Amino acid sequence: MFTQNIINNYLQIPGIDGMLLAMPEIFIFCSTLILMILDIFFFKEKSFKNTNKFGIFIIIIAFFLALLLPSTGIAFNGLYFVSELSTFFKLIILLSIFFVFLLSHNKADIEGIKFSEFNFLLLLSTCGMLILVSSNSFLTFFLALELQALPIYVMCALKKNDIKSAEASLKYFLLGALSSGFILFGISLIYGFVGSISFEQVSNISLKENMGINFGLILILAGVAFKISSAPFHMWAPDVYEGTPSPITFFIATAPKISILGILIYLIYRVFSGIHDNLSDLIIVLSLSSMLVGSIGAIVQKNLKRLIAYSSIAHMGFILVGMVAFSEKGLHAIMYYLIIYLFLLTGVFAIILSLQKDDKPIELISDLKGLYNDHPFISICLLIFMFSLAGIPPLSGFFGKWLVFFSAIDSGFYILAILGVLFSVISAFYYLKIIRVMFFENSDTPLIIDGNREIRFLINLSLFVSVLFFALFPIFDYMILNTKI
Amino acid sequence: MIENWPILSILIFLPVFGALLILLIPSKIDQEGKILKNSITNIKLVSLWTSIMTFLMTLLLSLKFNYTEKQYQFLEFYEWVPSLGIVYRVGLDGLSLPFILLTAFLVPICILCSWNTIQHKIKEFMISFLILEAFIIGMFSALDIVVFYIFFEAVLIPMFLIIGIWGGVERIYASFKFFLYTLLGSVLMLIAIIYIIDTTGTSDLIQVLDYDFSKTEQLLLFLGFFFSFAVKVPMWPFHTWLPDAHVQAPTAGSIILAGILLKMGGYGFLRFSLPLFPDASLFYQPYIFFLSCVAIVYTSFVAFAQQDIKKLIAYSSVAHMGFVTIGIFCFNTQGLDGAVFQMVSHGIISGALFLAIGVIYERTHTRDINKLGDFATTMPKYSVFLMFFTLGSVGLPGTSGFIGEVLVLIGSWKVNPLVAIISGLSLILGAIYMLRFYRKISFGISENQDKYEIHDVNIREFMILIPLVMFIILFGIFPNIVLNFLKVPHFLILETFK
Repeated sequence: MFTQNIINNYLQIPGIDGMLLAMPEIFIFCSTLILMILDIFFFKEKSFKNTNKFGIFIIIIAFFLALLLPSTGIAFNGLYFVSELSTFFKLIILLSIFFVFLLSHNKADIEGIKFSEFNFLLLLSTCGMLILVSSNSFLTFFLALELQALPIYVMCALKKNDIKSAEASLKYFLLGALSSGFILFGISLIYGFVGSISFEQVSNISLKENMGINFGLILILAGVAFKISSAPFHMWAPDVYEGTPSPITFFIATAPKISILGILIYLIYRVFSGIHDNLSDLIIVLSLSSMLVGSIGAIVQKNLKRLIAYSSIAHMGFILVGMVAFSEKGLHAIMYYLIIYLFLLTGVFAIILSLQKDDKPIELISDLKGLYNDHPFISICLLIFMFSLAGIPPLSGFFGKWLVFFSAIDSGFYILAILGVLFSVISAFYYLKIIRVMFFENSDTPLIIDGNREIRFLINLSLFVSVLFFALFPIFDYMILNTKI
Repeated sequence: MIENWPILSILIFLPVFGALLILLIPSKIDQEGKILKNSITNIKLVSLWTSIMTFLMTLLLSLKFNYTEKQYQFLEFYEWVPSLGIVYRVGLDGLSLPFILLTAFLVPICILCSWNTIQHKIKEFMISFLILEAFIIGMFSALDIVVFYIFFEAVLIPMFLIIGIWGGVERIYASFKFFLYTLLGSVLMLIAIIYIIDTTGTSDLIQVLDYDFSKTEQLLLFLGFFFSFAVKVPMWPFHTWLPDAHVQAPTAGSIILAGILLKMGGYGFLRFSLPLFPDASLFYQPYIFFLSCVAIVYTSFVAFAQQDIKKLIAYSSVAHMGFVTIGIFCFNTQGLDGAVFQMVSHGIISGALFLAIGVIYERTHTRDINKLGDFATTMPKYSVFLMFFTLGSVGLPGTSGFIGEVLVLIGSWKVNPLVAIISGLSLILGAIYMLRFYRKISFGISENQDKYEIHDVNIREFMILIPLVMFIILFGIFPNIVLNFLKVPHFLILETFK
């Protein structure tokens, strides 16, 4: 179990030197502003492509900045905090943003999002996510949360003439704003009872008996559950996934959730570790209901992206099992799960983006009919991703599932683990359904594959990770075990 | 020199290597959109030779195998994930070697029997088959619980595809039922395995065997393992996936399903349930006897009522596997020997029967027992073969089926005479439905036999059927070929019960 007040172990870095800690964020923010000006004056015709290329460039530099600046500490008068764990989350977030850029690079045209604003918004949102996982006070937390969320609302609406996209955007905005309201209300309650918004101050106070703080925490948890689309706050996810263009769907499904999980881990494991007993029941409810809704809800879906939405709800339930465990094992399980899930989703979305039927991107599961006859390689890739998502060994998804339930059993949550694996069997059904459509059925209209270099690279990369994860396991093991919160 | 080689790992990954080779064979397409004959032949030959090489390797292993050694042989050990205590440990003892031999023996037969029957996606078929073989051999040689579980579940992927892609009319339903049923059984084993690793701190079977679980732990963990193995065996009432899967699977799939996949359950009981949880095994013994007796009697009656001959053999498999579970839970030498012998012999006999049904189906395109008949005059050689298989399945003395059943009966008589009486009497039921099957097929008059153009077995089929008949008689006369392997492991298992 964790000791409290770890936060004080980190060095307070005073004044301007603290800027060094926030270098990736500062770099992304400044270069995005410069890129906007460049775009206005120089990139006339190829506005989208050029900004996209620069975006990739910026993300790569930020990745190495985050990786190579080996600093941990607290900066800006305790507002900002970099630990090994937050660096880990920053790297994962930057990786997923890198994938979003690659996915959208040549596909923006057909998806109807060919505006350079897409890239600026993406970069700004990234900046918000990076600050979010590093926030060390409720002020930074809330500002970063809004900075990452507001660009996403706009991005959802980028496809201006599409009614579903508009609906998705509006729904996402309204519900997201509502959840932000919840979080803000919770923060204000905690501020009222503690008298401070600093995470350090909050974690130092004995919170257990304090009704106001508990209530505030429940509100924050509800808001956060909203953002990570955990049931029973999941309603927006299927509609938004369905309505938004695929690169943005991929983005919504990965990066914001990873960043919010990052800060949620920090809140639960560190800041509110004193009242974890009260919290764990709530998280068990969130986790179980997510698994239930995700696995049952997906069975009847006909739209591919709606199915992925429900599947991501179910996976969020599995991830939350690691949160319930409240141990080092649980933490590592979540980290593994996020890496594995990120690569799997990348592969699935790369395949969805590369397929076209009647000159339109595919939408329905039945559009995949006879994919095997037309494109054996792609369909075998998708087969492996589906089995992996279902958690069948020796593919990567199995290891994620295994680690998560290992942590639950290690902490004594036997019933949760048993229910979890039973739900995973139910969810195997709809992954098999996709395989059935691809392999066992035939169709008349051929699917056209329009994969470019970037997409092929992503498919191969995801395939490599999910098939050979058992070989990569020791390497990841070494990396993740050395990460401290 | 060869002593230092990782022979067992080479054996496990040899079929995977063959599958990769097949993947590299270009499937060129001619003007009509069909794959060129050349590359199809190449694909078939590569897979055949890979499987034959695997079989020769297993023969090499069994020559080098030391029958009296109490330790595991051909041990290989690599650190895999140190933080979680998972190691890659494989090794053989007398219990796993017969099953590996059986696997390596049946796979070339499966490949040969699908030589002409699999018309489309032949490349993918061969790849899935070889990968399936690798997973099965890996499962039988794993000495780490996690490695075992990984192979145990990984088998589902190729088998799901084999039933789903190359199966019969209702293949989708059958493949889904097979997959979900087995997955549901094995996830509970996953929880039990995680619990074992968490309490003992290692997943290495050799170390886990030294750990004494408390009675309550044993009772619960046994159930976790039980469900997954009982679905695989399959025991009544978890058997309903089997008839569907068998009927819909292609002939080769049925052979491998009946011949080997069903044995994974019995092997699991012997390898894990009995040595790890002796108290719980004793506690659950009467319940398992009850389920097995119900399986033997009930499925014999069900088999009698079947019109579809594949379904008939499928139900007879459930009945025969009932003998296996009775034998395993007798906890004496005769019972264990009989169970393993019955598994090996059933692997050969049921494989042979499915093969024989495949031969008829290829010619007549029906499996309805009423529409078939008079093969004694139209296919005399075939009828002789079928007679051997039928009599083996009935358990006639002189065939391998007899030895297993008689040993199980002796073993169960020592423990519970009532069980021996019930299962002994039901041998008659087996004779009734199998002889009815043989009478109808060989001597009965079919309704529309003139419609089919029937020729007797060709040279390829002859070559497949001959070794099967040979082994059925060989094991019936010299059962010690198999039983010699089992002395030491069974002695070690029974020691935990003293």
